Amino acid sequence: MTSTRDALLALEPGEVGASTLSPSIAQRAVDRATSWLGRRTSRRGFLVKAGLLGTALAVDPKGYVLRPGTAYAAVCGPGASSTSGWTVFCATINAGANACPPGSIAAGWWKADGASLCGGKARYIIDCNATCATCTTPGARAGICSSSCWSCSCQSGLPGTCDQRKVCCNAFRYGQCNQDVRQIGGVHCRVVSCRPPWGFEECSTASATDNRTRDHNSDRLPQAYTPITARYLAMGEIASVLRATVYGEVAVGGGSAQRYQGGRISYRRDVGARETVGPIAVRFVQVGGEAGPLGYPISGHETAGRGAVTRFERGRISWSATTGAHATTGAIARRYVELGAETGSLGFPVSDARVERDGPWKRAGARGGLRVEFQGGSLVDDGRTVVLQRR
Amino acid sequence: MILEHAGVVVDLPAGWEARARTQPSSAPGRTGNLLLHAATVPLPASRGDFGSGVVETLGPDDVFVSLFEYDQQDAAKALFAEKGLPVVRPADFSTAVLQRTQLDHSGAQFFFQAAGRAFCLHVVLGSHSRRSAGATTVGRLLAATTVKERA
Repeated sequence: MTSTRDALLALEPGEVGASTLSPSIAQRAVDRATSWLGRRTSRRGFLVKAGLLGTALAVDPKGYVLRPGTAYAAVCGPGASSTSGWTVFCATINAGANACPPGSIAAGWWKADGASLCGGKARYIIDCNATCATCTTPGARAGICSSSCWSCSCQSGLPGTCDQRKVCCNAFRYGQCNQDVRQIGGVHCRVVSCRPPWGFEECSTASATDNRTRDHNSDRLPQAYTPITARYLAMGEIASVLRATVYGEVAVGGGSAQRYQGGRISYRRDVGARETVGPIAVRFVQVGGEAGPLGYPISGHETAGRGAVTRFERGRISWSATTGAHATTGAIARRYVELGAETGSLGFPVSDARVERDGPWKRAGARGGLRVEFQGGSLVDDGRTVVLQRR
Repeated sequence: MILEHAGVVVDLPAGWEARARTQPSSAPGRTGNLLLHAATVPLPASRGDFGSGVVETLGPDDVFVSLFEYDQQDAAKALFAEKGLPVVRPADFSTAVLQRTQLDHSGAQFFFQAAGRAFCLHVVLGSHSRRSAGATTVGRLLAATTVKERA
């Protein structure tokens, strides 16, 4: 039979251990736990229960005992109260952006294994620490300057969010990032990623783990691993041209969409998850996004001549540095493709479609049409045909 | 009782429990970095590397210590300029120097290099008001700890 002391020293694979604790201390720990669980239980049953209970208590002891979880609280995960002592997510305080706010830098990271938010793989949490904006602290031995020097100040309990965790209160440094900076400020907020941070921040590969933080989240972050998440990861996630998420996914036009600092990914079951990037994404949103005249993207970001294009269900958006991003839709878009699109004689569009009530193209009785200007001419749709006018 | 693992030796004083491991090759990140935990309470099997799961169980006189090793090349960085295991003083402790601030807990953190290896020492005390005694308790553990070059 396993002794109490040996059972409590049960080692994980690859771990070595030793104990000089007095048996009374070990026994007191057992007694404390068993007082919760009742005395009529086997030792094996006790250890199983103690492990499960320990997790729940460690994450949110008061909440575990006193109240059932609510759906809204579940959005932000465990330990989301201001008294939990954890640090807020950057998305909560940084206009939805899952990125270090101005004035803060990545200071270290840890991972939580088996995270559903990352498709069952490791989820990485990166601390963004304040900088020592106004001073440094001579002789500070913790790699942290005095809080009077920080670029932010301690607060918690932001209104309008379930992420009530602390902002800029904890003077802690995980230490893998920006190691050339000898002193930094406290933890401003946390960024999350499904990719190792050394791929997109100045961080080393020394791995720290804290699985209790696996389900910590914000109502201003994505809430699930979706086809959009998978596409974002395949593109390189935060290290990609899309950069950080801005808020979470939204339902739109029979599918869903996710905003990023550098673009957007749209998903509908029949067309899959497709990205729009940079000025094309900006233009896409300006003309109504997925619910607008273009519909969902059916291509990714493609190179076209000296620019780029994204194709949509009912048109395309073409971009070049000299012309900017412009949309063509419907019959004009189809005619534009027939004429070679961006690499044809028309070149890139220099305007979006505008209504033209009159012109030399006009047929008798026609009520007007749509005109798009291109580098090499114009296409005019009178409702029956598309007329090409060369410059 | 002596605990030795990956070039760190601790002649464990009375009243401590310690566990050590190195980062396995199956996990993301650099393999072989040491993590040593020691506490005056029993260490649960499931613990965060900087103490979550343990620090919640500390009584007012209890202490938790995490010795976390970084990649070997990190030792050349400014953060690890201090050399040798630190001497812990009561003034080093603060209720804010914690991964997760908790009522009356107190923490201290030190970055340093020893035997060409880069480390963080993080200490958590169960009570800030008992930091003098806590610093003494940690001091005994550190005095019994030796860091050797990485094999």
